Amino acid sequence: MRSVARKRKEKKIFRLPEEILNVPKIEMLGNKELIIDGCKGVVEYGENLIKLNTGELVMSIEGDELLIKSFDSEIAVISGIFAVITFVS
Amino acid sequence: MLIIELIRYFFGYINFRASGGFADRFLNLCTKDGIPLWNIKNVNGNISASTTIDGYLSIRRPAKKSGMRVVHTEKKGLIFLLKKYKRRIGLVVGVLLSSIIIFTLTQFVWSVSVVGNVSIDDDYLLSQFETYGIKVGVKISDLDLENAEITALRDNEKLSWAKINKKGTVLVIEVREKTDAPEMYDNSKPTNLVASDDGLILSIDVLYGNEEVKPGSAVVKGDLLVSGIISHADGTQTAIHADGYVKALVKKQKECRSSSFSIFNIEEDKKRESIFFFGIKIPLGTAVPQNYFTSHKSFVRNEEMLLPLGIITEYGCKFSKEQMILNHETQKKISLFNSALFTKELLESCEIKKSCVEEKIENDEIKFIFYAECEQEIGVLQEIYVEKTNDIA
Repeated sequence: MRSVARKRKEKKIFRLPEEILNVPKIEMLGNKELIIDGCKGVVEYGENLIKLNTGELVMSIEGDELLIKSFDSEIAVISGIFAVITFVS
Repeated sequence: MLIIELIRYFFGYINFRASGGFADRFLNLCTKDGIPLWNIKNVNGNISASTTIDGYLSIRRPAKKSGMRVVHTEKKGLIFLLKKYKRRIGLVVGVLLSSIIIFTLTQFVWSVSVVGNVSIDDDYLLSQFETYGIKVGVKISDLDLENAEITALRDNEKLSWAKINKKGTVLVIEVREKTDAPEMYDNSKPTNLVASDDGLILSIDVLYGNEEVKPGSAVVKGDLLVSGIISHADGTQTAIHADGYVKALVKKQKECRSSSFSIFNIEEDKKRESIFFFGIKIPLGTAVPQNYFTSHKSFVRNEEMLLPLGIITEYGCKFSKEQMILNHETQKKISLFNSALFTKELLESCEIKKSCVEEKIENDEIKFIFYAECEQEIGVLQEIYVEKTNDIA
């Protein structure tokens, strides 16, 4: 936490972008597609639920026909019909 | 996305199913090991996904660690397709050969057509552009379209615009023809109206100027009909542009004779066919005589254009010219025919009021003299040359 606080301070001083704060960059196309830049891994993977580790937060996606279209060390692309998206810190 | 799918298809990929164990751990371990995964789906606790060939080969470790059992369900991609048909050499050779042929043929011009021309003939324009290198069979990379367009406009005065559009292997020459400016009636120059022929004046209708002859008077060629010099009461004169319509009865005469006639004796008559393929003409026989020559082209055609494949048929004949003495009956027929031609020519410019044909025989030669009395417009403009001087006494 100390590290994050220091980064926040540095960001404020140097006006650096949010990405350095270990937060994901999320792009959403309606409720059909989700692009998460900064995904650290999968926490839980079920038929109607995907939980992703995004650094500070755990992102939970609930819905139908969930499909991980692409998955690598940085970016995850998820498609389906999303019903609920929650963040747990 | 399409490009990515194409690349995946080109290099090949494997669809697999993983069951049992921990799916989330399996995915994380795969990512850690750099195994690319896509289209991951969880159906009743079983994971189905796709990966590359290399990825599938190194998937055993993450599968073992996460307690999952991996089974491949489908192999997809060009590499597997080629492997499947590896023993069918003919098929591979055929694909390669057809690819080479298609690639080679698409390097050349297949068809050249002209659009936008109204009065200029298609063949004339095509042959003109052919001299600039725009023809069937030319290598596309050797084409200099801009230069051809400029040269065509420079050489052909009837064209106002030309553009060569290249659509793959097809060239379409688009042209626009020049519209000639209408001839302007110049009434600024002072003129007289004079007779163009001998005749008897029937009517005179003056637009500008002074009438110099009356209906019923006889005139000879060059006589003044309407004067452009106007005299004023103070003794001065003004030169104007005289004009009007003068109709006169004019006598016409033409002598038609034909004692001998040229005939052509055909000595050799030959036909030759040539195969035309991409601008190359392969003759099937020896050359044809060129005294009289004509050719007919017949090309293979699809729904859209003429293909650069066809047969050119050439006809040629060699002949000699010979003078033939005609008998009286034939001479008569030919002379009468010539008289009829003369009548037709007259009818284009005047109205024939009276005509007759006189037959005469001189030195065993029949001649026909055609006489006609025609009503004709005989007024022609003759410029008055006025010298400008500044000395006013």
